[in-house]
Amino acid sequence: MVKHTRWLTVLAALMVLALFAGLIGCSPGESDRHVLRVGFLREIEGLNPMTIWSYQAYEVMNLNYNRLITWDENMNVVSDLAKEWEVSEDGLTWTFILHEGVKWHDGEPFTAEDVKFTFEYIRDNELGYFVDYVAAMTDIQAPDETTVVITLEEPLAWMPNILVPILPKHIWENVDPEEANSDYENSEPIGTGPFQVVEHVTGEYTRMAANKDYFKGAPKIDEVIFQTFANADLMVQALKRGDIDAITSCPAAQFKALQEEAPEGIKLLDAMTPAFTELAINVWDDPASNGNPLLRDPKVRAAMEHAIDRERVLEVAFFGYGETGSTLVPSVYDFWHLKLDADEFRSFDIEKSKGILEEAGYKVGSDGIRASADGEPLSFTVSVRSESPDSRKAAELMKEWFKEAGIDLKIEVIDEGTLTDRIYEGDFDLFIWGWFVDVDPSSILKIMTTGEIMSWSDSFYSNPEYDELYEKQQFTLDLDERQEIIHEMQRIVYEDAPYIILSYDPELQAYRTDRFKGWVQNPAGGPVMFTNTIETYEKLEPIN
Amino acid sequence: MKMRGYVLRKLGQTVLTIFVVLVFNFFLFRIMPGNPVRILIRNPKISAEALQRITEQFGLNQSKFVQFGYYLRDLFTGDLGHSFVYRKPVLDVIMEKLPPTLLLTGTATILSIIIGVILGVIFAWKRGSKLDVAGLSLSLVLYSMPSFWVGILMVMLFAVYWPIFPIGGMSVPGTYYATIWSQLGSLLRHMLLPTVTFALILIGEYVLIMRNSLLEVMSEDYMLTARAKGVSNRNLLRRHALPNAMLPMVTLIAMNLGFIVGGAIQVETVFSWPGLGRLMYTALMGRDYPLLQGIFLFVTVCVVGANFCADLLYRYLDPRVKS
Repeated sequence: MVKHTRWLTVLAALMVLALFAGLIGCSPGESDRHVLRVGFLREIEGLNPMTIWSYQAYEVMNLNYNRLITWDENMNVVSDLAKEWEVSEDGLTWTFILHEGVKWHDGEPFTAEDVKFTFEYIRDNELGYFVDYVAAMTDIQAPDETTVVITLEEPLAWMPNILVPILPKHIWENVDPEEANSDYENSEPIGTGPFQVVEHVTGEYTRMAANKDYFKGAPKIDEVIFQTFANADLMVQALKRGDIDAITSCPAAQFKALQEEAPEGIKLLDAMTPAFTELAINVWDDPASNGNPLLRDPKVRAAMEHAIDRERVLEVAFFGYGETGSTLVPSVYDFWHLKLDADEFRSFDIEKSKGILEEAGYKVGSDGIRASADGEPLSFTVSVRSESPDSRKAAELMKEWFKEAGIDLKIEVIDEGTLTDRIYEGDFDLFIWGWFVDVDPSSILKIMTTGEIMSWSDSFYSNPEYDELYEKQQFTLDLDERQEIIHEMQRIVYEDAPYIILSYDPELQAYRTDRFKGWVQNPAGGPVMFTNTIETYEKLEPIN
Repeated sequence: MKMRGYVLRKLGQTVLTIFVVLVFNFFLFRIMPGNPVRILIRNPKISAEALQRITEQFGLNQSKFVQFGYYLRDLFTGDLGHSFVYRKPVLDVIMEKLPPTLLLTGTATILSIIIGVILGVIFAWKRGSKLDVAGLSLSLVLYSMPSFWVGILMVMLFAVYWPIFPIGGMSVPGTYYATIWSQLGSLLRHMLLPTVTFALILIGEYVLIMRNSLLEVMSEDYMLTARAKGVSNRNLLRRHALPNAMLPMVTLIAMNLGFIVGGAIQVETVFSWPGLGRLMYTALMGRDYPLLQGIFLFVTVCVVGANFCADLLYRYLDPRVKS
């Protein structure tokens, strides 16, 4: 025992010494390199474009790979790997002319064969989220090195928005499609993008080095590092200390505190995004539905909407960020968004809410809760996600207003996984969740079509007239004509109210303007990073 | 001969304990709500055939008992399954996160044992003195402080107000170090706050147990006898009191070994330390059953194994443990 104690003492002394050595240890110097450090609260789960799903992993993919097209700040389609393109009269044949002299990160030349291979590889093996974009391509040809000719089954309105990263044939032709869809790590991703992943430490960080041969010109910064933080408060402190240069998806509470403090050299951006938060209603008219049948009455849904003060929800639950919502396509997509007239919009008016219910025959009972003629009480349960304290606050507010209107609202907090299962089984009354809307409105409009029940649909809405319009807009190539149809579709859904869209959500970003300049908001008024484009990374310049 | 029987019996108990936990874990994760296939795919657009294929690939179409059979079979071949989230073998994922955790919690544990034992001995020896009272109260305070709170306090003090230390993480990503010493220095700088936080929490417990255990021993008759024989204070403590007083410490340390591998979820979260604790949290949020099961099994084996070693050690340390 004596010996042991002595040995331990020596060990302890050594350890204390080592710690001191660490204290004095020189801090790393990196004056000659310009590194953009971006912090967020999620892990990047992988590097394989076919299996990743988080927003953060997609950002890495977007920096590493290019698509054929991208967008300007007004959401017009502009050149990326494709220099120009044209479509035949019948809308069936698309010809893309590619940039010349583009190189993969490993030095191999990029050609039309790569594009052909990528689309066929994804189409034939039904890979990832991308298959939807290429499924309707019946024929893909590469007549020469810089020309790709795509033939479609039928004309598609969303073309040429093919949101597919172009992969190098010489690498992926050796990847077994089964592997690509499951375990393939793609640990050294070869793309054409402005940055390439050079180091990926799961749960810690992903380091990307500038591609000096980038076809749009070498980036002016040397590296981008995406860093995962486990704690929002410390992430904000790291930004203030200058350990990191930018924060994305800052939680509202921390953002508010930052705004009040207004630290110098840090820009706080409350950006509009194409995302919304909705109160979804189970309107499934089917014996399998476990939702309260009274919710199938559009009058009840209208009365509920009149009993919600969206302004207040924003203020209390969402810390005042974002804007009030209404129709399916968020206002940031100005061209497609339907702006309702004041008399169409069901604004906050509890008296009106009571009036509608009274008229529809829901009489107030002794407990203050209204009931149908059959004596069924207007008593619903709203499911909120334990992951989102904000939506819980929103639900608490609604509970009060609903009570005043004579509707009983119970709040149930469950985790996202459980809620997802319940939604697919139609086992819910109401829930609060959100959507992120693609540049082209097709995908968000699609969730309300009858065909999506048991797939993307989460309100089980069904309306043959709407379904017809959905088909029609897909094949309407004239923009104004398509806009009219899409506006009409939004009006129909708004009137039927399977969703009460509470807000169009913001993206809260904070970044150092004293270290870098050239932050680009895309779309106009939108975020500078983690958005549809990677312009910021292409254009950012260090300030010395 | 006796010794061998003892070891075998203990080994049997150990294996049985691990098996029970194994069964419990397996079925526990499968009665949790949520359909793993949906989490696995995260793409409702997937075709029915592909869905079927994946369900079969992961054996999720089989009955729970058949799945358990497969699980056991794979386990014996060293295959802990496949992580849903990371798309990698579970063992690889765990092994990746194990070194940071061992480094953090291991260092903190060793530090806290040394300091805790020394302080405990001092306080017991000076029983009733002002030093003892002050030390005892401090230990109680440390013991009852939540670790995330201490962690945040440490960061606020030493990384925000006096920015001497990094705010979190294990390294500054993308830094090139001139020498191995500067790299080691950077690691130590990152390690210091989380290690001290974790050690502070543990020290209180060790001080209290050590002090009480030593006090108990000191009131034994043989201590009086030794003193009467004229044994010096120093030898009294070293030869007679300490060896006996250390016994409860062995139990405590063996129990705490579970913490060492399980990581300290709270400390790792405060300091963004990339260890097993945070991995467990990520796995839970992502409903990564195979990974969760793997981590639980790993922790179980370590805790039960440590207790097995403690049992054996006990026999060696304490000749009274015979049957």
